Amino acid sequence: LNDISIIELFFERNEQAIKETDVKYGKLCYSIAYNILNNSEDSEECVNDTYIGLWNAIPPKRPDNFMAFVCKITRNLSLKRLESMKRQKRAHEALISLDELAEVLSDDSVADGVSDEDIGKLISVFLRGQKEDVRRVFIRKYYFFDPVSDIAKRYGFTESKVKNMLHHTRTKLKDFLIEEGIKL
Amino acid sequence: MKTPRIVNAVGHIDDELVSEAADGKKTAKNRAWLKFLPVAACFALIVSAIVIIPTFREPKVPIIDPPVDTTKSAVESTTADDSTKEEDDTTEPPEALFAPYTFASFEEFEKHEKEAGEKGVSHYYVPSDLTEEYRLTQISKRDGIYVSLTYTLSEVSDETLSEYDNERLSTLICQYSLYSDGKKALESGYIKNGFEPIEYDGKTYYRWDEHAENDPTKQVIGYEIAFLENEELIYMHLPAVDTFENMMKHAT
Repeated sequence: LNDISIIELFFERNEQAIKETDVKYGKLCYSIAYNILNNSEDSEECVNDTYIGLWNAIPPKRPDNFMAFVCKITRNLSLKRLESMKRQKRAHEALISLDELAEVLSDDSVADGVSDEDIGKLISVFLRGQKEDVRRVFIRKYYFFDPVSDIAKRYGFTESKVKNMLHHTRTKLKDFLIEEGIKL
Repeated sequence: MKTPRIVNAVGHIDDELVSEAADGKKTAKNRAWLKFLPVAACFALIVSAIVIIPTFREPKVPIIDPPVDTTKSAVESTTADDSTKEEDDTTEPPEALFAPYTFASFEEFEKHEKEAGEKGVSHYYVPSDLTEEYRLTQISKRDGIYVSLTYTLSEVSDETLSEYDNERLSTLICQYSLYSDGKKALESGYIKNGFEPIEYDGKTYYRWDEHAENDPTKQVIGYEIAFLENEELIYMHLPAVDTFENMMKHAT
């Protein structure tokens, strides 16, 4: 079923919408949740919570890009769950990703009056200015939280190349955010 | 732990960028193999002709997935509102996907499992030596993931603890994993996450203590253990109302 039809099912309050979403995006949602939480049960629950979130959001919302909308909900829910997880149970690689991003822009260095959405828009501008490879690797790492080894496999790079790409992109992003007046 | 703002900000990047990275398209790094493509195509054609032609002469058996009977969901019977329920069998409450299925008694659970056919479990793990103080409050099941038994220990309360911590101090959970590879699940779900190996009664268990307010300097409210029993993974949260050794008798 295409995304528009699935959205229509949500609008009709047809429960088949959930099943179709699960068939089409269940695995993707699970992989995002698992990358963040590193725990099958929590990840399953996040995927289920994503469906509840979709059910509650559509209608009234009619997302232009359903796949990205689904991913965003799973990502947000998983990060929220990660916050409440016990330190010992958190996924090591996801925490590294969080720290790496925090080094680019720590909370206390964000200029006043700038929202997370504003920062997101600027990161989009920055990423559009990068090579396709660089952009994809960055998003796989910091949006989908893929492990470096998976990214290397996906794009046919060595792990060290992926690490280097990420390092350079973070440095460039940091400079970009300073130039844009987001980072003090 | 608070999620850094920039992590949330990355969640706001343009949908097109997300789609582009999600589509799984690999970046071709080395295209040298392309020059062999015509040769490979010819070879594939010859091989497929050899393989396919004889199969036309054989009777074919359709390979169709058996229909999944979704009408037996325990959730359906407890959550569906009859007044709004459609006659159409193709729709079911979305809650059916939001399992766990929950049951109040062993009888109810076992009846459901018998009716569930292949998806039903034939055995599960129960804690031993529970006194009457432990009251079974819920059995929950997620297909292919776990069967979980929750017991509440009555009259346990510590004024110095928060409501959540008090609840943990009075709860015993016994979770029988339905993962096919218990060893791998133990490794990735518990050992990698800080559960420490201990020897108890000649057997290896993995232990992690839960402290009040998740603060290691505060009192232990629960002993969490994970172990393999006949290669199957068992996880238990034992309320810390007694010494670890005494509480372990419920796990063994």
